Amino acid sequence: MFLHQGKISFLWNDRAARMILAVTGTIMTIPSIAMFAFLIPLFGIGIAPALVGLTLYCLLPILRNTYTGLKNIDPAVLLAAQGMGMGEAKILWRIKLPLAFMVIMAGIRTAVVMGVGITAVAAYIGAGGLGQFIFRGISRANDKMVLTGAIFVAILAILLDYGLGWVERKLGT
Amino acid sequence: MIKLEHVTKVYKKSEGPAVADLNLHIGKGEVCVLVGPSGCGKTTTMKMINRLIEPTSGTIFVDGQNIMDVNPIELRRNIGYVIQEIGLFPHMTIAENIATVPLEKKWPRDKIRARVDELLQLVGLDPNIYRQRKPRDLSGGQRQRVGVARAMAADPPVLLMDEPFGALDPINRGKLQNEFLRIQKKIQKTIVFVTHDIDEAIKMGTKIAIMRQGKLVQYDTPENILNAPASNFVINLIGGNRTIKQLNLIRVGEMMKEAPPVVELSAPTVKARELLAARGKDLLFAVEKDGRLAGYLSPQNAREEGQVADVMQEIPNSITPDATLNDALSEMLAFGKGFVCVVDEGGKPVGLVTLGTLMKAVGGNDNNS
Ligand SMILES: Nc1ncnc2c1ncn2[C@@H]1O[C@H](COP(=O)(O)OP(=O)(O)O)[C@@H](O)[C@H]1O
Ligand SMILES: [Mg+2]
Repeated sequence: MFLHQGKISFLWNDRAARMILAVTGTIMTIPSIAMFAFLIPLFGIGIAPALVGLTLYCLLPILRNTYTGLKNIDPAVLLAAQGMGMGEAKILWRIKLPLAFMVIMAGIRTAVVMGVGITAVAAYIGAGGLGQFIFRGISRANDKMVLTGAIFVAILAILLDYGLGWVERKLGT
Repeated sequence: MIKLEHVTKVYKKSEGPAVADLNLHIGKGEVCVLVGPSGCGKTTTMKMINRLIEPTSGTIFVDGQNIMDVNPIELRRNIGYVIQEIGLFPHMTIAENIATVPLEKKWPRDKIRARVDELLQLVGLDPNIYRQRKPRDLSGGQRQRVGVARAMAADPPVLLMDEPFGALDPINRGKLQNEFLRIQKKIQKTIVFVTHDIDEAIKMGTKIAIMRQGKLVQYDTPENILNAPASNFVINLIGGNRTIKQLNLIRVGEMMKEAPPVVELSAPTVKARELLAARGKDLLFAVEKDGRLAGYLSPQNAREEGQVADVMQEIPNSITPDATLNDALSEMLAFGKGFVCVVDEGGKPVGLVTLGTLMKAVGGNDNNS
């Protein structure tokens, strides 16, 4: 009964999916400072390397959760959908995505919160932003400045997460 | 209506074929039951009919058309499918689940809504209560009912049902089987019904296809299979007492005796005594004001003074005319009396089955064989 899943899953190439997850997983283990340092020769300094680095980091939680969410759908549900004459696209939109929604959203929230933290670090390579306060505060040994930056970064992350939680509840019901 | 000709399926990386050179003709309005041990190819056969699996060789016709010439999506929308695991969509309401195929077929909204209510009623679920519920709020039996309703939604001429009552306890299964037979009498679909339970096959089938290791070993009516099993395999599959299994073939409605006279709960027992004496009976049914069965009285009970309601004996279980004599026997054994009451869907008494009825039924069949 599970053997059939491969055919009806749109993740037709499971091996490719797992490889991508392994690669993005490896990227995530690289410390952000090291990652930015590595990106500077390729993209210079400023916004560009920050965006590239951010994208790489955010990829994993979103991909992994999307994959897990779609993967964990009861195969019986998919078989029923297919057996009643729903097309692949219909099954994706009407069955798979709604059922995986919560898990995918959780991935997006993780990515956003993590992204805020990493963006702060990107100030180090001249991308500006709230992180500047922290780095300048450190170099000037100004505790208040560091604290201000850190608190605002934290507030931003909490607000974004809260907002996404609200979106999730709105769409999820 | 459905014709399988030399159909063979060999799965990749498997030694033998899962289905081997299968020939099967299923007439319009028939219930063909595929039965056999687990792994004998029942599900595979069924999935080939709606092209979820393509045969390695052979041809399948549905309604005279080679299914390979029909768009699979189109084909499936015209074949109701109840999968073994039910597979209701957990994020949709019961109404949305049932509306799946009509939505795909772009029926107008009003028509879909009316159809959903009609189907819920048909499978015995109050639309006002269940329409907006989610599958997780339902019991196993109710989910099976919704699964069947969903398959019938767009009124397809053909239904494929893969162990549709498999997940139920024996009592609920019996109930659903009887209801299903009642519905089928009305809708007259062509049905392929998969089960591994020979008793269910005998009860449900117009014809039974017995399979073993992908091959058809016997294809015949339940009567003929019971009377003339084609091989030892079939004999073993039928198992135990074949005479008792014959009881599965006979509906209570065909054999039941006339219901005893009825007396209202509020009547005095004098009335009951009069009735018993006048009709020369030894049993009376006590009924509510609206005619529903409430209990029974023996002449002994009727001898006491008072109201019928005070002296009558309770009836824990009754059966409907579309139950089988085997159900009747089970009820009798559970009830511990030599009779069981037959009531219609509204609970009104319509007949009586006694041990004598069963003896007659079994005796009659013995003479035939
Ligand atoms: N997708 C598949 N791939 C390979 N072998 C399968 C597949 N599906 C079923 N089989 C095999 O085919 C045989 C028949 O299976 P199935 O039709 O599911 O039997 P049943 O429904 O009668 O229990 C079994 O031996 C089973 O292991
Ligand atoms: Mg099966």
